[in-house]
Amino acid sequence: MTGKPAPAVTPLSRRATIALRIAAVLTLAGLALMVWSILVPTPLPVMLAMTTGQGLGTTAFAIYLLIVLRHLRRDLRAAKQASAAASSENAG
Amino acid sequence: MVSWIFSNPLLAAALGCAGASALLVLWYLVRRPLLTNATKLVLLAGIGVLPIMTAATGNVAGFEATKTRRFCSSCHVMTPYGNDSSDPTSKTLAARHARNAAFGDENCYTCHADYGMYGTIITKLGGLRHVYEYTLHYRNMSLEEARATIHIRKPFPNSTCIHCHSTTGPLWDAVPEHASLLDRLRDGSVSCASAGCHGPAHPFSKGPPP
Repeated sequence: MTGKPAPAVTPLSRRATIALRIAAVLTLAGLALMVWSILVPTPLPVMLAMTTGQGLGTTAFAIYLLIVLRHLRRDLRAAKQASAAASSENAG
Repeated sequence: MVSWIFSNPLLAAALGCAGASALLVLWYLVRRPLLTNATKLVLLAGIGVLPIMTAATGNVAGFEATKTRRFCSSCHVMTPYGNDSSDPTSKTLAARHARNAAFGDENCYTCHADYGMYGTIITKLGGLRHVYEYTLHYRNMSLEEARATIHIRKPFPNSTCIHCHSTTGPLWDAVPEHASLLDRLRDGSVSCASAGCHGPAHPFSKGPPP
């Protein structure tokens, strides 16, 4: 059985890895505030969930989008370079 | 509490989404996988889609929660008002309305909300003002002090009463005071809740201590 080799994954830079982990932790913090407001629907939790909780969640998602879009763009550029190199090899 | 949460599909959905999101994010933090396409999709669900669904359902559930008497009376200075509304033997205007199914557990909001196109927004802004006032002025105040100090910011509008009591029904018209004061009640120059008419909705908050 022959399968296509899995495409190589471009590793994330250290900064991007840390940023993605921070996004994950911010998501957990935002979720905690939102769940608190659901379990204890009193003014403080509800206001915190609707302001800080959603702010943390939005920040986390923005970081995720930034990192992943940059990563996708880099992957795309690498794939284009690889295909250009392969076609020039074939031509040669 | 569990039965209360699962009796409300919105709350159950919000908690379900939050739980699923937390699991995915924890998986990423613990396993530290490479950023493959599969990982990106897992994180899209864990950091994006599921938290957005939690926030959306949580917002709706939160807005609904802010309408309840339990929410309003969770600040200690409002507890006597909430207790009076919940008292099945109380004869106050507020308690009698709370016993009506159309008001029920949301009787504070139903009577104190502004009606009209932007009524909900105006009411929520007013609620934020309550939070501000409570945090800065009433948080450490005794109930006795608060009872003497707290007052409604602007006169209770008759339009709120007229929202249900249309002033056009034959039973309402049959009351001589209603008929004689009809125009003044409609334009708000005489309050339904004034002394001599129906009186204040929370009489224990007026006058000397009981």
